[in-house]
Amino acid sequence: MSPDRTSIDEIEERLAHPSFQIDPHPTYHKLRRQAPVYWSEQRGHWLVTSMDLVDHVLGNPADFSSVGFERRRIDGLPDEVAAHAGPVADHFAILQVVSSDPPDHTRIRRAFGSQFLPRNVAPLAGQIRAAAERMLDAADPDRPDIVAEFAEPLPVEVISEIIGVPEDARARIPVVTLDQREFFGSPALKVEHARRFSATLEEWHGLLASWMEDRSRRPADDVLTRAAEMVDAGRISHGEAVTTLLHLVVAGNGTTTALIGSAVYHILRHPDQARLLVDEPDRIANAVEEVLRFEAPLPTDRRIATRTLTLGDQTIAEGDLVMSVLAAANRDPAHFPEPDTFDVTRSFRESQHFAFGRGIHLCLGAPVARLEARVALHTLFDRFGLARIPDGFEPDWHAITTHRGLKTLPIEREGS
Amino acid sequence: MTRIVVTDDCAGTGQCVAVAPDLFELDADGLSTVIAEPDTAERLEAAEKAAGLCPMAAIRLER
Repeated sequence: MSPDRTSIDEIEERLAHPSFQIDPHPTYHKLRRQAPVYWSEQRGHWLVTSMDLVDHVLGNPADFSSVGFERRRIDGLPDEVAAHAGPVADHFAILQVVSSDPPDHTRIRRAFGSQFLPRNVAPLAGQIRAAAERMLDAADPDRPDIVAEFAEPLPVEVISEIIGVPEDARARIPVVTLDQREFFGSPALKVEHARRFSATLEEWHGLLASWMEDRSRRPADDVLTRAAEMVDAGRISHGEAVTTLLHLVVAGNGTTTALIGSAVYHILRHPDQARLLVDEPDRIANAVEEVLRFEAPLPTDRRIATRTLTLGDQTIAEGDLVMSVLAAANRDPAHFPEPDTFDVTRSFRESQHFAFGRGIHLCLGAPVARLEARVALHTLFDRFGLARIPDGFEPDWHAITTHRGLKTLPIEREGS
Repeated sequence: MTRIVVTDDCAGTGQCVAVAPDLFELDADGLSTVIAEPDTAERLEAAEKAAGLCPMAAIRLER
């Protein structure tokens, strides 16, 4: 079934409306009911909003490729902007784990996959706990901003330890993360964005190459060492190592910041559920899954159709950009009863929600993100007990459709 | 009869358990192990789907 013209006009209007950034779900529900495979004229891509169809897209990499999205973004830039995006084009011309298809994807993923085995990640818990305690101790004692003082610095420190980023370079991590998010998420890209992201990428290529060279001589227990070994063994190219390392650095912090911020926000918004978690902290792991389902930090995952094909009742042309809306799949009432209800006691099967994606491109760092969010909540409850969100707080979400996170989240001690 | 083999490349992502909980589970190390053979058409289909979703391409079906 295809929506009629009136309905299309209404959907396009809703997608462009500021309220969509605050709560996109009424629109996603409407889409899922009326047109689960929907071509958005203003966006220039398909939106897929039912869980079964998202499962199909992400489960069939031969039909829906991960290669070429960045190239298309760069090719679509106005000339005056593109003139400053040379290093960006060079960077994304190199295969990396997130933007490759099998067999290259399998080769690169295998080179890094063992670094993120749950059993290799679990020993980090103590270190994460110590960092979390340190950050809460340093935060405003009366009214800490959970985003700026906790959810932002913690993932930077954790991913830096895992990759091996030295302390004096860690302040550059949020910079490259924001530059990349802006470059791919801003509707109207300006010359300054392209110039800034180009300079940042050149800086990071230099830094990562020099750290890898250092690890070749002095191996350490980090991903940089692994990358250097994989290059020496001829399993991946030097370029693939650098671009994938940078991807891990970028993917490993902004998303986890969003996850921790959303977790604290939604849990404290439901004081009965917060009380339950304070009293029964064993439930925190399940609560993190519910936050992932309810507020996926990366709401969409992009693919490009490799041939003309049928999806649902729509014909998708070869080369069309197809956005799987993970956030919408996670609110599909066919799979989650009362999907708009936040419930930390909801029971989950393994990987039932799609917050980390689905299939071969499933988030490589998922075990780290899960562990970090769990430890963050444990630490916060231990230090603050039952905290609350100040009266009158209005959530301010980043206004980028490819990222879902709070800009700020003040909390207060109970009784203050 | 088709046999499922999980290779050393398994990284414990759990995608197989998600789509074929009758056939796979994660062991104490968090790695996938086969708990049943794909002895019905339905299970064979689930095994093929699990193989296709594995990020490490660590599931092989031997016929």
